[in-house]
Amino acid sequence: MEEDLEHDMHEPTSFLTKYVWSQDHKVIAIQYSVIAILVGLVALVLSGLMRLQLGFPGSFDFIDPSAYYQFVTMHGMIMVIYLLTAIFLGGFGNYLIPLMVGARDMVFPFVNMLSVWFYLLAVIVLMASFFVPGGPTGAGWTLYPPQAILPGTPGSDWGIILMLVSLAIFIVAATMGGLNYVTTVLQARTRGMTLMRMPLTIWGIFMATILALLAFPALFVSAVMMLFDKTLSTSFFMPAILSMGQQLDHEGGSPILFQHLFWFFGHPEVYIVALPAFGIVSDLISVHARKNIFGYRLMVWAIVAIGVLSFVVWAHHMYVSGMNPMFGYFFATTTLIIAVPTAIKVYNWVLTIWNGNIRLNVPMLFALGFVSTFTIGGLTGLFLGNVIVDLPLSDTYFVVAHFHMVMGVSPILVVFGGIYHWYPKMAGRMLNETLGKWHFWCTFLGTYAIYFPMHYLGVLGVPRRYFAYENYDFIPESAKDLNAMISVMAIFVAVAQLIFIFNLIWSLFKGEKATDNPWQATSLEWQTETTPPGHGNWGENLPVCHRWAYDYSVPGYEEDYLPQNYAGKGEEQKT
Amino acid sequence: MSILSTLTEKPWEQGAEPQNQHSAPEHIRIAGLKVILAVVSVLFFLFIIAFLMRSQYPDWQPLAEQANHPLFDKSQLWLNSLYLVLASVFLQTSKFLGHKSKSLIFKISLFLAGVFCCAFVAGQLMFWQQLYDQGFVVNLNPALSFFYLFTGLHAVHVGIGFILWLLAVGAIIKGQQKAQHYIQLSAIYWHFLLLLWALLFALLVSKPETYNAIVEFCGLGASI
Amino acid sequence: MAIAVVLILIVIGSIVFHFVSPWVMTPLASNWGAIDDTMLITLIITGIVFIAINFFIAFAVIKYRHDKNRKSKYEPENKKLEVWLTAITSVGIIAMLAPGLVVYSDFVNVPEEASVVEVVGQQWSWSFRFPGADNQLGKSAIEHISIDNPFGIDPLDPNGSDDVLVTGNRLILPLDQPVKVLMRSKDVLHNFYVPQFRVKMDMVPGTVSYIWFTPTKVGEYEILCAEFCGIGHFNMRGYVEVREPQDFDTWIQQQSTFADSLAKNNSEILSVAAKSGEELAQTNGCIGCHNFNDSSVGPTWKGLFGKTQTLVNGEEILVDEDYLRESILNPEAKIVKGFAPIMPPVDLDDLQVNALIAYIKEKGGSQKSNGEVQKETPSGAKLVQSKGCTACHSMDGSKMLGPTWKDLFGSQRELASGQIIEVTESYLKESIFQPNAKIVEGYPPVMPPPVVNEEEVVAIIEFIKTL
Repeated sequence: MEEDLEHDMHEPTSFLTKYVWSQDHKVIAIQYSVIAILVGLVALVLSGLMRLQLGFPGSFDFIDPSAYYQFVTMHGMIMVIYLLTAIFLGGFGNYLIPLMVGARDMVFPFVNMLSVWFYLLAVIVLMASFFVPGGPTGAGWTLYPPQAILPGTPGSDWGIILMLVSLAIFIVAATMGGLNYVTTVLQARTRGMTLMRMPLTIWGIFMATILALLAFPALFVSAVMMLFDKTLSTSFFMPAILSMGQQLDHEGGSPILFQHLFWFFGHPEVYIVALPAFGIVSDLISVHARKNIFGYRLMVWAIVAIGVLSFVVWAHHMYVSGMNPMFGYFFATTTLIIAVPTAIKVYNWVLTIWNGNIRLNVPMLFALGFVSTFTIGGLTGLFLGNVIVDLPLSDTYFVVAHFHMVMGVSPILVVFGGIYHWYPKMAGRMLNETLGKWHFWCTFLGTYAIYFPMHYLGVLGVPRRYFAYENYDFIPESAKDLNAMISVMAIFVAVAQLIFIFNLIWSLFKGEKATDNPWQATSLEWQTETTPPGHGNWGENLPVCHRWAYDYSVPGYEEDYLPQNYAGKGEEQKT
Repeated sequence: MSILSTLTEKPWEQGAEPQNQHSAPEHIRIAGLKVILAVVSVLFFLFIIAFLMRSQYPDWQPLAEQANHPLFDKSQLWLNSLYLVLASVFLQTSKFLGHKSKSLIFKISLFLAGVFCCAFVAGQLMFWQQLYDQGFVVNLNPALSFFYLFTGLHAVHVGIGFILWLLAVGAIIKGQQKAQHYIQLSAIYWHFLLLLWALLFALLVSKPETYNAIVEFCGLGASI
Repeated sequence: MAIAVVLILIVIGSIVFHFVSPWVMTPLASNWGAIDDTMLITLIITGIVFIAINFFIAFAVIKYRHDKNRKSKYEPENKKLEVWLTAITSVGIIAMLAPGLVVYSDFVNVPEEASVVEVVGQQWSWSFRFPGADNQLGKSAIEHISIDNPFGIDPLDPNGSDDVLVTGNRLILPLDQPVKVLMRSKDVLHNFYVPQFRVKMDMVPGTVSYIWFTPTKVGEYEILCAEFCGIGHFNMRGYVEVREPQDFDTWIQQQSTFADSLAKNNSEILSVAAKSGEELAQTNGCIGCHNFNDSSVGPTWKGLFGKTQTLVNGEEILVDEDYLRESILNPEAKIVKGFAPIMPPVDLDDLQVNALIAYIKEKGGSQKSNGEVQKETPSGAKLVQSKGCTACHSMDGSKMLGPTWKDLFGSQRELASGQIIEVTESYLKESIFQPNAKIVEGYPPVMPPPVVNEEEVVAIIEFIKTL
């Protein structure tokens, strides 16, 4: 808050102030994204390792049960929190908010810089847990007590403590970032940029940030209380129990209380990841179909409705947790109600391409791929949200397949789509289209082949979080072949991501030079004077917004798009 | 402009001349502060919910019912509360006198606000020491665990408030214009701290029947 | 264009996969056919939407692919269409939710005629309790749990004495009798899950959760743990066997009750000397390693006096007062076979030693006077299954959580402390009663002490020797 809000126009000159201690939202966004992608690659390798065990049990000596559960836990936690949350809010949010609403920077650039450094610190603490005695925690990403802090679970000495500390630091980072995103959107938009003229990307990120600000405290509360239980042997979540044959000091606590707190964070977290994806995909589809987004107002209302409803559905993760079963009625109802606005979003995406003029370039392919995978993920959610259908399916591979489809594959496709779409603006060069198409097809078809059949393992009843499935009568031998196939596909998809990494680096130096507005898009970030935008984004004058972000193919105009800062027929285009 | 009418605008229709959507820097800082306070409110709200739900389990022991309970003797806590009230009062006075920031009374009042803020934290630490000496350790019973948790987090929160105060003092020493504004921000933050403390204090020393009644009223009882 | 073709192929492929895949729901063996029906309704509705959306995208991509000479249609919104789509979606949602909630209310409300069985989970095995003749389960609590009372039943609760206790991971249930399963856990979260019964629920330490179902098919089904419970989670196995009611009745008659298990340990009235001996045994820590149960680190005192013990040198010796006195004052002189020489000498005067011997004699009873028919110890091969050992120890050399038993006996092992030891009977015995005392290098110290008595340990060790 020390920084003066009227952005000083003096550009930082030294390398350190420009790229390391930078307060420029674009640099911070890239820092966030690079850290997130790197840590995401770690999680990708972990998933490959655990698929090796599941596909070819016993073939790899170094994967023992401890290691396996550690891989599963760290994979889940990294992907959900440290990759997806960070890249959508810290990466896309930071880069796009000031550019899309026409601001020079975030309103509190210093706090914004602190945010990325706290995020890096959280990642370092998390990674440190790989090197402490006992290794990282293997408690599952849900970290349910009592087992998370008791011997019998890998990493119950140091791993779990570092995990909780890292989460607490991450929450501080996310809050500092979130403070900026919300305040910038609410208070620092350029002239003419009313809320309803904002691109849906901003709406998605804005709502997701509000969810993050309100939901992360619940994780903070549960992490701090669990840390007390672990280090000070309090009894917040710990009832009287035995461990290793001995009765512990704890008494009277409630493991279910933890679950309520965790999922009060955990469910909005799904939408913290999904809403920015919804927003971005809406813009990708609209730009590349050369058509206005269908039902903009309904899309905004749906984002708001999903955001509000996401706080009253959390216990659908707890249908079989042993909580009062009467809760099942309420949460099944709210959960299925939330399906309505979500379905509306899907309808509006497909209705947007109807009557469009579709350019099937890489961002559009990823966007269409997203609609398809998200449809599967959303529809299987209806099985799990309906309490009685959840009883047989809960804690099986159906759940694993569902949440990977809905908040693993789908948002990641959007991340890729978004990067292919905005990379020209960020780097000044286009990503290679051919490599992009290879990357898309390998990822899209590969993930389909992994997760679609996986649902059927769950229907069969195969439980999740099992290190091995030997000699179970109800699991046919053929399921092992299926598991092997899934593992092969998983490793294939993981390797295919190298295409993307290569493309990112190669295009940075050798890619085709990008023009200011290569996609002929309307939103403000494409109307900057330079590409990539310089310090302060807009040169001398801020852009003035005259229209919404979806004036594509407006009747009566030569061009098939009208930029948001285009004042109208006969007038000069103002900047 | 209400939220409802904003959300029902039809953005594709051409509007009037573009309106300014950018607030003044002072407004933006206050808005940012409000966002932070909202997050802190949610944080403590969830802690309090956890406290209330935990209070429904049979091993719960109240903190201030009988002479042998840790918070039965509340004199130190009342004294600390007084410090916090005084800190708020003096800060408010400084804000009120802000336009004559050269005056001695302004400086004294601002200084005293900082002193009482520190006194509060020191008093809380002293109280911790007293409890610890009497054998009321953090894991003795869940209510006591919550007491340490709440007061500890609140103290951290006060610490951040103190940094805000330091910023204001720094700005005054440098003679910057925005000192006035920083005092205004600190005042909002500190009044919030006082309110939060009053709530936590009241909660911690309430009777178990009060907890039961609140839990009953909020329908949390069924969750156990 | 490729995307359109691929989406169509995905839809067709998915439908084909659905009908030809061998991975279908495990055949139902309970009354919860209604759950399968609600799932089918959900599948049909969601399937239609899935097909429709993907086909629509494919069609739109083909029909409206890019053409420089054409422009998109400008259409900000279409209220009528949006209202219709919202309405249709809502109808679909209600069609899934309403039957679901009706079936759920059947699940929540347990029929009155349901009989009760309790399932107790612990890392990583199952045990079961039936209420007995009075149809009431005795109260239980963690603090009552001991080696003699693994269920933690309150000994003062009269309802508990006729409770039928079943250990060994195998539950027998009568056919066509609704059963309410009460669930609790001794340590962490578990989940009682039998795929064929469809319903499942977490077992939460500190609370009791429940499900109910009616087994409708005779047969044996696997019990799985479906809530992550630590490193042995994937091997927390059990079986539920559904039998004809009359077979079930015969079986349950043969099971021992809580009262039976207590009777085995009932103390008699002690003489004054024996009483002071009892005090001495406690104050000097003897009972840390010796007790009157079938399981103790040192030789059990139950029926010790008058028994013939085999020493480590192979010599046989009758346990009389002299032998006991010698062993108390100079423990390492004559070590019984199968025990480690770990007992420290105890500093007692003559009177105290006599009191202690009197206590051992009177409380433990002597071999001759006791005359108790030894219950046949089940074979080691069965024990290792029922006690959950095989969750972590393999018999074929494959690496699991704990060291494999194949070729274990007589081999040399390196401990985590760096020490090299030979695997002997006394090492195995110590490692069973105090699993974390000597951990083999490369394995985590996670084994909970099993509930086994001395004879069972001997049987298990004999079994390990054969591998």
